[in-house]
Amino acid sequence: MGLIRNIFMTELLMGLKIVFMQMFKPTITLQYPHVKHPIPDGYRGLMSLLRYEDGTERCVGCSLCEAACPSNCIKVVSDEVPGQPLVRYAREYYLDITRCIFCGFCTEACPVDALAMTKVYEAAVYDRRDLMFDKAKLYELGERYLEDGKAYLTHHRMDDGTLHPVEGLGDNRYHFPAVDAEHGGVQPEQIGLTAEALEVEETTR
Amino acid sequence: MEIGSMVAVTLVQIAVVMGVVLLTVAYMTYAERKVLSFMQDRLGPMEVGPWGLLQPIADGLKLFFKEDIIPSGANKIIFAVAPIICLVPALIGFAVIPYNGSFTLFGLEGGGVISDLNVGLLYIFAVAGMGAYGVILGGWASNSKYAFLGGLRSAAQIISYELAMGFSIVGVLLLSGSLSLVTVTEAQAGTWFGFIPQWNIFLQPVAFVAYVIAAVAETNRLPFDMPEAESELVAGFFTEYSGMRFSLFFLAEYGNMILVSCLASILFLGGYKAPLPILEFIPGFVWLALKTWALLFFFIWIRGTYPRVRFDQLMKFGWKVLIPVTLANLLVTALGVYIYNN
Amino acid sequence: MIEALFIYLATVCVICAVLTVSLRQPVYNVLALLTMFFHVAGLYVLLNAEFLAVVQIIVYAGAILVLYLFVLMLLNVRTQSRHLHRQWPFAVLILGSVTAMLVGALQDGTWGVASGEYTAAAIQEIGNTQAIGLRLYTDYLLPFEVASLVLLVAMIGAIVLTKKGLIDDHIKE
Repeated sequence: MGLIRNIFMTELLMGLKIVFMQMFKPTITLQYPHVKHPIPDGYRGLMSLLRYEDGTERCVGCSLCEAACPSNCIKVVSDEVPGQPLVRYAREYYLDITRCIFCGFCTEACPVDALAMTKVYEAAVYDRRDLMFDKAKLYELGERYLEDGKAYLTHHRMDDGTLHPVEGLGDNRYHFPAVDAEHGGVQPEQIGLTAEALEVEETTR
Repeated sequence: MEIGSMVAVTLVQIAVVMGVVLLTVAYMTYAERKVLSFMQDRLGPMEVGPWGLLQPIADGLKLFFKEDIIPSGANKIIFAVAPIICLVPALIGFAVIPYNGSFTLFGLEGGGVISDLNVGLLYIFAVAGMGAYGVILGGWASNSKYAFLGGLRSAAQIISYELAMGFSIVGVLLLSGSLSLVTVTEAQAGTWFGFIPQWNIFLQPVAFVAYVIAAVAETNRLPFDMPEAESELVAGFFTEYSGMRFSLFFLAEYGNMILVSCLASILFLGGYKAPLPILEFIPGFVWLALKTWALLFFFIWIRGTYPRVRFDQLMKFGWKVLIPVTLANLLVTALGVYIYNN
Repeated sequence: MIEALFIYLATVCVICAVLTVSLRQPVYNVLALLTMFFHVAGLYVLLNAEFLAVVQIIVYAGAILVLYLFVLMLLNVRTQSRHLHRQWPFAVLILGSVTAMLVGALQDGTWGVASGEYTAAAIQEIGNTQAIGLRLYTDYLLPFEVASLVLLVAMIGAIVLTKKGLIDDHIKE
């Protein structure tokens, strides 16, 4: 039997038949520039900075995003708002997209939901310098893709209700520890450090 | 017929045949991409023109305007000549391909073939063997290891499979008793029992299979594309070529494919003869084109199906399977013809 | 017309033959030889021997010369004066005797005159290929087979030479 199968090359012919039938199956690819896949909410695309409804910038210049960034691509220059000594803002904000790894840690670190990722993935440019995003560019992206940003924050449950008036959201975001009026400043247990942990730290030191 | 009009008819024939062949080459590249795409659940080129129909023209223009790079240390003369040596044999082989029966057009008589050589088949073999020089010299002159290895592999492969190809067609020659392709075609006219066309494929099925396998190997196509195996040799013998010279090699490969397909349809599938007497109102060149395109589709089909064989497997198959099988077929055919004639 | 073609083909033949032995780059030698084979084939066509012409190209240019090129490339022979200078007396001897033979044959006056039943017209009538086939497989069958036997012996000899070690091992076992 095996010899006859070899002589008539049945296995080869079976392969040919399968490939031929495959020709009549519908294609599974898209004509990309004309047709695009729907991007899910929470997609980690280009970064953007958001504003409040009244137009003031959300960013308070705390540099937490800079600290959280694993590839060190964010640079924040913080400053006081002129005339308002207690209110701070980011005077300059730089984000190097060529180094960004699109991990989204910065958006999670942000305490005021100022950072959000859009669904833009076509970041190709002719000049590399165009990929060094500055504050103006990031706010422009935030305005243009506001819906993407909102959907992103809602999807990752970082929305504290300032974007969408929905209860129960925002349990995945970072909250500033509440200020204890009596002692002034932050108590260790409020930032997740127990008394035992503190003692261990003391003894090792 | 006076000599002036003879020359004119021949020149017009050459122009038409070359035009058709080159157009077929261009759209063969398109058809290959499309068919392979469909086999892989894709759509293939879609951007240039409706359904990407103008893609070959765009590709040609692109290659034409590409920079012509000659690698340092290359032998400049041979590097420049090699693509031409490769292309010319692929094209001049069409001189003896009969594409139609005799016909009369505008009062001029045409033979349906540019030149009816009485050694037509041997002529095609002779010029096809010259293609190997282009490949070897191109690989050698490039001053590159990949190109060199590709050229050597190609030489070994072409020499080995030319033998099997030659043996496989001798059976057909015994049946028709001539080396002229016109006579071979005319010998396949008519039908058995009124519905089976008297094609050689029914008398020589083994030879046909052997011929097709050898033809795939001769034209360096998958699954025998050892000389240009991209996963091991980048692009084989034309690794270092760019622009117009690269496209000449490309033209040669597809021209050779069309030539061997034409030859197969003439030797085994009745050439320009209609399969059934009822269908004889359709002109001969349409039949030849249909048969050739069916074989070309088969080339693409097996490219989409089979993986590349190893080089030692290729050689072993050629020398230890294909040549003995074709020799045995030749012996049986000779005996059969002898018994039939007495 | 025919004379002009003949003069062209013959001139190129001679030039290429000289180039084949005088060029320094081995690959160029092979290419010169290839050109010469083509022009010799052209001469055959002029003599109405198209079968010979085509076989000349298939066998010499298509097979043997490709193998030459193959070997040259594998050996990677560099430009150098080979050991030709030691063999030149033999070369002169052989060349001289062949030339003497040719001159003698030409002076004999039988050169180029067709004799026997196969005149140019007769060959034209039955066809070149058929004429060769008939003669080769009827009258000259024995020499033909002997020639093929000689080739077979040469092939076996080549195998024995290259596989010498293997055969010796086999005998020892």
